[in-house]
Parts: sequence; structure tokens; C-alpha cells
Amino acid sequence: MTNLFEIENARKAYESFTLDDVCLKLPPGYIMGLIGPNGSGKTTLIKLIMNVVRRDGGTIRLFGSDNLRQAENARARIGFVQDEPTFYGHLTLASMKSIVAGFYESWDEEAFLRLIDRFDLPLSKRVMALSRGMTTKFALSLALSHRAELLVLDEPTSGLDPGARRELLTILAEYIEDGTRSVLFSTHITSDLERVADFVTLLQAGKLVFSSAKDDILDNWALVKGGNQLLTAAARDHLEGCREGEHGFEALTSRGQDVQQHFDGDVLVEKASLEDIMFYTTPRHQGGTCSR
Amino acid sequence: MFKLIRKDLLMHKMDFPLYVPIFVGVLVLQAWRGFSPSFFVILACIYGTIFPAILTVLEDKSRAGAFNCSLSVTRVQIVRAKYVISWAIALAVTLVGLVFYSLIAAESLWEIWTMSTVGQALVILSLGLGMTLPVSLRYGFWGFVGGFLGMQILAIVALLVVRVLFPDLQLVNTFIALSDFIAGTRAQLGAPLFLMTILVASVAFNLVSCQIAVMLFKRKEF
Repeated sequence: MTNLFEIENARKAYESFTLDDVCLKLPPGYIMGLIGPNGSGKTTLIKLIMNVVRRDGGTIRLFGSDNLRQAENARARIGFVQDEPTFYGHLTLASMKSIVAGFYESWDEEAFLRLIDRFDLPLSKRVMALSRGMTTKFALSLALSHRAELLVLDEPTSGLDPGARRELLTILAEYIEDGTRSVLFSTHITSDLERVADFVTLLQAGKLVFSSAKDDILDNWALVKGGNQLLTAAARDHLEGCREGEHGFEALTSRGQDVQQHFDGDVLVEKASLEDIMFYTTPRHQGGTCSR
Repeated sequence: MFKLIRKDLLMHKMDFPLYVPIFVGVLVLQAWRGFSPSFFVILACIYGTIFPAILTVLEDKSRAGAFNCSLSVTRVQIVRAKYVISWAIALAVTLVGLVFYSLIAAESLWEIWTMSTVGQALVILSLGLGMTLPVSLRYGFWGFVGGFLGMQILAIVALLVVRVLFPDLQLVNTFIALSDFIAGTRAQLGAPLFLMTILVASVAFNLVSCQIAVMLFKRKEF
């Protein structure tokens, strides 16, 4: 089965930031969440996939072909929502839709109208009069209305209220149900991913930390809590990231059983959430170096 | 290509009612001033060049570049469509200007539209669009301004260099020689063939310009 996208050693260098050596792939029928703190490279990676920025190295294949070639065909099969969607602000939603629909032979007007109704968007309003959340909803309606096989969404939930966020997650889950379509979406709101994602990819400072099945990640990573006196040099070897407080330490580990054995039951080992993993894998907390 | 042109027409449907009366009004005012047909053609062509450049800059200011590039089109198609629509708008503005000139100056449109004025129009539109579109598409407003100023600065620098390197050279004579060369070529080829040569040169210049614009636009990041 052809992966909808495959990224190998992708590289993009800016003056103050480099996204380096990123490898990633997504088969059909899954939702992949892309997480990482601000400036970790999520938007850059998405822009590389969409070729709105030029890559400096590596390869990116969409539907089996290089994303620089066959670009027209590939983009017809992708629904894209930018971090801050930009449209022609002076146009009404109806005019903007008319422009976008003209580019897609597979445009589904009924699906578009259903989404407009579901998101409660006024077609006669000008784009510039929409709030950030409404603009995102409009961008999502456009992206979801041309039977795209791959949805690439950059922070689609960040401007949405909790109700709309849940609505979107339901739509995404329905979208991949037939097993032929996939979704890649970046977010800061890791609880969204815990609800719907099949795979989770974590970026930190332009580097790929992991890209694995969500369940494996949540099974493998654990939070360790205990007294500060237990934090010996040998103990730190078992920890990926750590924070020391007045009343004890909290750390992340991917070796829960080793930690239990090492501390001989003196510590509390809990399941780590994606947010915990994202927090403790930042360079500041890595390698068992404790921060206060 | 057609979907991109349709997109531009839809996108600018609010700009046309605003800018078309301004451009037509300015051209009407110029027509009242009693310029010769030949000079009026130059003016109309300059306005014809500026109008599409303004529309390109306005689109760039809307920051919708990433949206455009995410549609199911290639960047090459985006640039080519921009050239086609810019030429269409520039020709339309020039023609509208000439129609008003013909009405105001009470001259037949066919008398104004001679081989000579057609040749002039082609040269001015080709140079204007061919030189401003690549930089406007790549760098937006500042590209247009920079390109425009850059051309003038380049001309001044060229004049200074010639002055320093060849102090005895009479620049006026150079221009006279150039003018004589053009007139001689025209006499030798005959008006129709001369016009055809200008047409071919204009098309070639704009094809090169379009190729440069594609190269620049492919490097643009959003």
C-alpha cells in the first residue's frame, strides 16, 4: 500500500533555526498528530510537504511521487489548512468558495454546504470580517469539500472553542473511516491527539524525537515521582527529563520497569500524557538534568 | 490557466470599479491636453503597464500567496497566467485610452493606430511588463518600486560610466545614431516587416521575462 506521504531526511535551514534529518511516513486510513513546542519546526515541516517553502535536502514524496514533480496532481488530492489561513479578505465566503471550487474537479458542493451549516458560517460575510476561529472553520470547510485523500492541517484547533474542536475531531475521525484517507495535523493541544490520533510525531528544536503509534508511546513512557534524595547519578541514567522541586522530583522515562527495579519501589510510576512527554523532552529537561 | 485567470478576475472584481475610473479619468485629462497621437500612445501604454502591476502588488499584500500555491496548480502556471492577464489588462487600458483620445481629439481611431504607434505600444508594453512583472511577483510592492527605481539608477550609472570612460563621446550623437539605425532598418525592411520584427522581439523579450519570473517565483517562500 502506497504511503500518502513519505519524508526522508528532510532539511530546511533558516538563519536561526534548522529543521534537520526528519523522516516520516503516513499510510492511508490514519490520523497523525504533529506536536512540539513553539519553534520546534511543525509549521516548517508542513510547509515543506506543501512546497510553500523550498527544502534544502532530503526527499518528500506525496502519493508515491516527489512533491516537486507532479505537484498539480498531488495538490488536487490534498486539503490544506494553514496556521493562519489567508484568503482574499475583501471577498465574501461565497466568492472565495467559488474561486477555490474552480480548481477542483472533485468539488463536492453538497459537502461544502453541509460543513458551512455545521460550522454556522455566513456565506454572505466578507472573509476579513471573520474571527480567527471562523476563518479556520471556513478553511476547514474548503479543505474538506474536494474529497481530498490527505488532509494537512496546521494548528486547526488552536482558534476554535471547545465545542468546535470536538466537532472537528469527530469530522476527522469520520473522514478516515473508509481507510483510504489520512490526516496530518499539528497542534499544541495534546488532549486532542489523545482523542483521535493513531500516530504521534514529536519535534523538538527542529529534530524528530519520535514518530510512533500513539498507544505504543503512551505504553512506553512513564512519569516517575519521588524524593530528591533518590536522584543519584546512577538514577539519572534511567531518566529522560526531570524537574526537581522542594518536595521531590518528577521525571520522564521510557524504561518504566528498569526504574521500578532501580528505585526498588521507592518511587511512584504513572502513565505519562503526551503533554508530559512533550514537556520533558524539551532540550532544557533532557538527559536527566533537573530544572527547578 | 483559465481557472487562474478566472480567479484573478473574481479576486479583482472589487478593484476594477475602483481603479478603472481613476485610470480612465487620468487618460481623459491627458487627452484634453492636446498631445500628439504618438505621445498619447506612450502615455496610455505607461498607464496600461502600471495598472496590472498595481493589481499584482495588491494581491501580494493580501498575503494569500501560500493559499495560491497550495491550490492544484503549479507555480509555473501561476506565473504564466499572471503574464496573460497582465497583458490583457494593459492592452485594454491602452485601447480604452486611445478610444477616449479619438473622441476628445476628434481623430479617427484608425488614424491614431498606425504602424508606428502600434510598434511604439508594443515596445513600451513589452519593456514595462517584462521588466516589472518578475520583480513584482517575487518581491511584491518593494520589488515593483525597487525594480522601477533600479532601472532609473542603472541608466544613470550607465551614463556616468560612459562619461568617465569615454569623455569625448557625445551622448546625443549616440542617441541620434540609434534613432537613425531604427529608421534605416524600418526603411530597409518596410513597415509591415519592421512591425513584425518588433512583435517577434517583444514576444521573445516577454518569454525570457516570463522564464525569469518563473525562476524567481519558484524560489519564493511563504
